[in-house]
Amino acid sequence: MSADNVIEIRNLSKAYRDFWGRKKVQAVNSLTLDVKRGEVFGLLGPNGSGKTTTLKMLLGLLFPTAGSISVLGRPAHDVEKNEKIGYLPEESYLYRFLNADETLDFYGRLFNISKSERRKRRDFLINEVGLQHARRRQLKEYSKGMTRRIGLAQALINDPELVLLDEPTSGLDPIGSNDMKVLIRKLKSQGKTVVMCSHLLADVQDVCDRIAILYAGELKVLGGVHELLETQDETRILSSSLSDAAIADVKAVLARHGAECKDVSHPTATLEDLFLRTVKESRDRPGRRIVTETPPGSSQAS
Amino acid sequence: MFREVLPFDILGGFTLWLMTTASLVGVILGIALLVSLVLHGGAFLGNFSRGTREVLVDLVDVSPRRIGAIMQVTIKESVRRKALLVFVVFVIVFMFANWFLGGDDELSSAKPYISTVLMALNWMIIPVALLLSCWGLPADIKDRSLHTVVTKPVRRSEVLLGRMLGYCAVSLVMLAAMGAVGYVWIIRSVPELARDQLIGRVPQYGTLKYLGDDGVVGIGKNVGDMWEYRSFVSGGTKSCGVYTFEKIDTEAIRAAGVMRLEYKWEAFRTYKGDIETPVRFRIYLINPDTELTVRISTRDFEIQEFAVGSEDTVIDIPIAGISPRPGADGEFYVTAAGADLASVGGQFDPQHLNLVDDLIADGKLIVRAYCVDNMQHIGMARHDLFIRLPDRPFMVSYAKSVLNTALMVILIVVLGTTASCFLKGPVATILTFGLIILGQGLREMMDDLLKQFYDKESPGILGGGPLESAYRLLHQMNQQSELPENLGTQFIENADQGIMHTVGLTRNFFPNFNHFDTREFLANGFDIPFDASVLAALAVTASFVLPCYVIGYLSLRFRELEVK
Amino acid sequence: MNRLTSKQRKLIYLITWMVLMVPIGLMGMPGQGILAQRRIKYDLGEATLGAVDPASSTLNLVLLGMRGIAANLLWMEADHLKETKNWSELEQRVNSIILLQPHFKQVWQYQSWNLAYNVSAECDRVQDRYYWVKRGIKFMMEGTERNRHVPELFHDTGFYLGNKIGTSDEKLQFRRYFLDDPMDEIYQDGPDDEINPEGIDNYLVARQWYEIANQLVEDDYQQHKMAEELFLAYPYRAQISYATALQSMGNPLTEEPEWDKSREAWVRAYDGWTGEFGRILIEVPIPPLEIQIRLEPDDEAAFDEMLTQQTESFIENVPDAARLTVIRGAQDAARQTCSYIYWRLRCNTEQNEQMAAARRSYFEGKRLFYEAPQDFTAAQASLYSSMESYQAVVTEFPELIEATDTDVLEDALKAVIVWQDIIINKHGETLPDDYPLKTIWEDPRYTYAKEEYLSQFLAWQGGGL
Repeated sequence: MSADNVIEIRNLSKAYRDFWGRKKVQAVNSLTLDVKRGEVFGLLGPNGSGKTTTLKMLLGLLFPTAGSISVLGRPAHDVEKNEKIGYLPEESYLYRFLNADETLDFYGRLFNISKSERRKRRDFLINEVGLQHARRRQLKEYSKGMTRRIGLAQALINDPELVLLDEPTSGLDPIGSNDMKVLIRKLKSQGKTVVMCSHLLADVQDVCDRIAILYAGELKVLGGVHELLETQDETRILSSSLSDAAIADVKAVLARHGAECKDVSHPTATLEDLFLRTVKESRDRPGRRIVTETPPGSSQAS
Repeated sequence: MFREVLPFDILGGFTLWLMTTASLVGVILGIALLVSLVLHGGAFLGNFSRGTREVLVDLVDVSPRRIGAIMQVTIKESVRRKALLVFVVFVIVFMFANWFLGGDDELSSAKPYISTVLMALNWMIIPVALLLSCWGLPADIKDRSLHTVVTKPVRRSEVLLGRMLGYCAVSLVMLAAMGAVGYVWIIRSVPELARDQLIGRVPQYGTLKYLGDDGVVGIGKNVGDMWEYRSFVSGGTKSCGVYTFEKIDTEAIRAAGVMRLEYKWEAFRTYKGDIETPVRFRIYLINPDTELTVRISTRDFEIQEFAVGSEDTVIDIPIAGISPRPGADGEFYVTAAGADLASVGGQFDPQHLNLVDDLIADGKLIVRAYCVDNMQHIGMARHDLFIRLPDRPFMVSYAKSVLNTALMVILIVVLGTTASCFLKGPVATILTFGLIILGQGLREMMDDLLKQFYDKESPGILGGGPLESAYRLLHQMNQQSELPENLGTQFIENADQGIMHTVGLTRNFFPNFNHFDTREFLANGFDIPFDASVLAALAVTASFVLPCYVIGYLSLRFRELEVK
Repeated sequence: MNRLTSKQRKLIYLITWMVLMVPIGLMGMPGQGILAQRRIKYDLGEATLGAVDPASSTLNLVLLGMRGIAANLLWMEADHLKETKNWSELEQRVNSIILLQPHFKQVWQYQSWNLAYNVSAECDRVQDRYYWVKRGIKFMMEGTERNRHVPELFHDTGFYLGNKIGTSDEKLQFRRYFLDDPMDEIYQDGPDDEINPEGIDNYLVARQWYEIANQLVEDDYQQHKMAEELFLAYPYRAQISYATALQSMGNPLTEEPEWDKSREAWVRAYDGWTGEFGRILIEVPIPPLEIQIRLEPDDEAAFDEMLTQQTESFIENVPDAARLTVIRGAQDAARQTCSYIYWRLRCNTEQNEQMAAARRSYFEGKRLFYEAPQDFTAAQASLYSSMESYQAVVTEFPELIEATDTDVLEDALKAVIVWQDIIINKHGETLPDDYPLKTIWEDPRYTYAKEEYLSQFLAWQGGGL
């Protein structure tokens, strides 16, 4: 294992079986990828593509059918690795009869954190997620957004090295969602590794360093966000606004070099394009992969 | 006491437990090895040993802090989900219990009151323990709140232990409160006439054998009772009951100056006789070594069948003051038949006979009881005559009873939580409740059937095993008539053999809940014996805690918490 | 509907609910409500069956449809407790069964009999036996409270009070305890006022219970225990038993005979038997007919009157003479069933001075014979005089000893037995050639009875003849 790989996934497969042991769904198929220390990694894919399954296998909630996982240098089922992991589930699965203080105290006690430290972190995190006004109310009275916030707070109670976020911005209003992005950047700036699953591509594009796109359990796209969104057979020139004459000149220069000017416009977000294209191509031509970097290991089937 | 009161055989029980547990561990390891072989092929041994090591570490290296945290959450959950309401129901039941029992001056027995409380205590705390323990974990898994917990550095063994301890704490606190209410209710409701029955008598039992009419050791007579608890001795013959007491604490008797014998025999008349005079009996004390025989009292005693726990059936035998001749004016201790005084002379001073020195030899004493009236009979059972040691307060006895119930609650919680590790709430509840019913009501029947089945002299159950019984039921055959000879009945008989062997092999996996039952002791005014009851209860609970912990842990550990 | 808020919807539910409740409430209103009226008309309310025990009703409500199973389990437990002689818990269990099945007649009958007869017989001390007899009676009385219209339960209560206390082996003690309960710490020197509030003889209390049972039958509540003429005879028979007991056992407390009181009782018994019992209109089934008759009187006018009492179907198409024959036959059959003629004669003769003298001298002679200090000569004289009186009575009313009831025959023969014993064994003399009752003594019809009393006398254990 490389020292700067926080997560190493090799040939990971997961099949769900029915009662009689017959295979029902191949949720993840021969997945191989690494997550490097200090990066924000995005795991994308349509519903049912295996993102959450992968995440849960990382946490030891599900057992792989084949392949291996190493998280922080330990096998996935080893609970001791959890000391340095923070996990925010898709919906915050917390005890609804506890209030915010009790919740954080409870999860704090599951880590090796002293009482005074626990109290300090609790107060800090409640401030951080903005729940000061509701810390004594039972969680069953919380709104969706508030539940997300307390969920995030409990994920950070142990000051983790690796943070796993399942749909971090779902259920949050634009402000909350922006707060979340700010927080993710802040975590990155603190040197933490963040792995997130999301549907909200804009969010991912904003914060992620690298992404992987899964489709039907298979890795379709893996690479740095910038590299992936760069289109090699097209060149986009960004300048300050040009006059019509200037544009005509530029077109003439291009024509001279044998290139045709297709469009003159302002840049737009294109992760969505990539995502939709990947999904569409995967549907039309199964097996095709776009990888901008050399995949870890080399024995994987494609 | 209508149940054999035998000290619990702790060594035997432990050996049995070791064997059973060892076989269980063997089976589990075997399965694990097989799975490892299938999954990992050639590297199976390494994987197997690594897995076993991890499991052991998980089981042993648990953190009290984390268990405490989970336990605390469990308690909070129970409290906030209003489990304590059961206590309110309990109190309400006892506010109205007097509808059922009160207002009857004539009832001079404390028994119904005590039974009612113990029964209510049992049947209200069992559902609490059952529902709490069987529904908690499955709900936790279903709501996925457990996911958040196990993604923290928490071992699944810690989750299990924390849950078990939490449910135990809730149930036990509730039990303690209910027990206190029950105690106050008993003290206040038992009618004036029966107050003296609220005691904890401490009996020391002997062994009993019967002498027949000819004075030779035999079995007592059956006077036609279906119930074979007592055997009868005939009046006016040499027939008698011989009780042998051992390990008598002579120093205590010397200190008290008196030995107390209590009896509860039953009379059976073959003719009417003088109906106003009860059937009478006579008691002799015999030194087992010197055979010196002393008759207690010049008067005959009268049978008292319904003087439960009262002083009427107690004979106080002062240690000194034995008169050497029959008819002498000593109210107690007139020497009589048996060994001639002169024949054992020299060993004692006939003028100063003493109970402790002259009758008890090495803590051993023989008591013989004869029926006086010709052709009338007295029924005796082993527990019908005992040396009554100093009484303990009713409260102590009651507390021990609640303690036994507490042990039962712990066992139910442990079983329920374990079941809920691999079953859904309702199924776990049914399974655990089934174990309780099996261990309480059907256990005796099962033991009896197995005794018949494995009987050396005439093996086989009267009326056959389950299939044969069903066959007989359908064909309305009685238990004795021969089955028709054909392939079908042969199959039935063989299948029954198989079933009974399986039952015989697996019966030790079912807890014997009868050990927790203290009603007979308490309701009859006896102290609850530590060795025969509390220790047994303790052993049953203790023996199930460890295996259940392991099984529960393994089920949680190798269970995918997320199944889509 | 989407336009309605949740609050509005709830309000609509509430209003609908209230609107629906109004007619139900009105119909069920006690008094005028149609449901309540129907319930009363058809006797459907539980309260019309008897006192309602709130605990019992609650329990049945809670158990929903499971009470049959629960009662079965409890019954099995009760059987086990009985087998293991756990009486107080047995009684408790039985009370639980009753909570579940308060209107199941047979449960009351079976279990009260169990307590009064089976459990009681298991005890050795007479006081203990009496205690359980009482528990059985009280249990039955509770049954009558819950089932006010079941004649059998009242009848059974009377039967326990009369027959169990008055005719069992322990009758002397039981009759005494009935007036002076042995549980002195509760009842001091008086009776248990729950079963004997007036402190009177057990047969008199029994009569009161039988009378209630009769009243119920008269009010058209069916009894299925025995022929109607037998059932209805019980209160009057209880009066007869009372009179007999006064003669043979005397006052329960002192055991002294009370001749005046017994004469008085016989007068009342005669009046009751002929004047009240005889005048009741009884239904006698002579299949396929149901004939209405009275046992008394039996003259033409009476039969003509009875003819008018018959149901219509009987009157149609049959000549009067034939119908009268049927009625006579029915009266005859009914009289035989309840030994009407014998008891009328017996009540009549017991008021007779001669009969009273016979009873008195027999009682006297018996006592002189076995009570210390024994006086055989005086006993002999007394018995002889009793024999003379019996002879006179029997000569006048030969049916008295020919009847199935052996009461008179028994006393007469026993007087002879003791008298003969004194002459032969105590005085060493021979019997005179002739003596009163000699014809009866030698009558082969009574050989069996004679030998039985003789063997009783020989096996006599000191308990009295």
